Amino acid sequence: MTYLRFFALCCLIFSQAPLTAQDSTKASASVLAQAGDTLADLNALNRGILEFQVDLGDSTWYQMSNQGHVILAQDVVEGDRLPHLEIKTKTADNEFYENRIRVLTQQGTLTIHVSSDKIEMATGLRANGKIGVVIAVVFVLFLTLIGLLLYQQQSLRKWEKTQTKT
Amino acid sequence: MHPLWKWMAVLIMAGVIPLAFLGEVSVQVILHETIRNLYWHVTMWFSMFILLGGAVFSGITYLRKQDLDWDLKAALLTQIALVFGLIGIVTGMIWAQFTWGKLWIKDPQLNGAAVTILAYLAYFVLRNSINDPRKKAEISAVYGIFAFVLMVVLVLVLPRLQPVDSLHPGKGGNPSFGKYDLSNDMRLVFYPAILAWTLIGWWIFELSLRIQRLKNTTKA
Repeated sequence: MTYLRFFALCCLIFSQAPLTAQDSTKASASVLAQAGDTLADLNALNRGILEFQVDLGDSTWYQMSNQGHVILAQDVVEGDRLPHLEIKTKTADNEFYENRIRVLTQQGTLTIHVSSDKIEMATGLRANGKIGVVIAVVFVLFLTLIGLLLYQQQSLRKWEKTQTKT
Repeated sequence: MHPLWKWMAVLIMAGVIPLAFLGEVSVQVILHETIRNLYWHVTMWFSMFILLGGAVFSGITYLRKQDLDWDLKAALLTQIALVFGLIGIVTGMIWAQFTWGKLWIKDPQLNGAAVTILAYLAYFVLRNSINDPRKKAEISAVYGIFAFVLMVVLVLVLPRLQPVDSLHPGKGGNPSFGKYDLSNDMRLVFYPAILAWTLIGWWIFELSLRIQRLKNTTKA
């Protein structure tokens, strides 16, 4: 249940402007984070997020409709078991990032681990057209193989004809 | 083999090659662009399996009919499948270098693949060590069935067992590539590539068979 709640929260945050801490109505001693508290600011790590994907067995990329870029907490109460959340982002410069957010509660303290790894893709190679050279080389190699097979086929036909005559 | 199949293989590959480099792929840490090696490494082993299946069928047919032509078919299919397997091993090693940092690691899947290749190399050593064509054909057919079963166990069954700690995708409890390709972009390239390489393998087999038959006729 917590898992779904957390996911729903992420979608909400990403598709709307960030909420504020004033939305909290359940402030109490056992509440370690209140609804609206910032858990992670992905934009500070990723810069200019265009699309995002939440790893929940769904490969859909969601468009960023507004400037929302922070992960906010719902009420996090002592003893809550929050999931390890993985969010992949595509940024304005066509780069990809993998963000891992882990929220832990222990002895009245809230610990948030956020790690962000840039996923190196060959966007540059594709953008400047150099990938065309790679494709051309592979094509030449493949066509050479096919050419050899066709040549072998022709030679065999001649050999078989000679064999039949003799 | 009907020319239509040959041209179909060429046409499929004409689509597969650009898509393999430019098509949409799942963006993953560690894997990065190397995920595209799926189109080369895995397709080679899938095609190898199909061709070896054909070799086992030929071996069994030889045992039933005692026709040496079926033994020739089994040997040639095994030969071509082995070449596919070796290409698969090399492309896999290159992939391992980029994702695991080493060309070869002590992994049940990798070691199983190596044993399989060695078992099939031994098949040819065995064939060349017997002079009597009938005896050679019989022993080869039985060994071919044994080697195929060994391959299924070592490559498909053993590394999948949960206690076996394999790093290979789809093995040792790891997710397979299906998990990364829920939008089916990669499958659209992957499956046709398997079909194309299998057809090309069959084409090579057909030519080799015709050459061997002509050689045998010339000898006789």
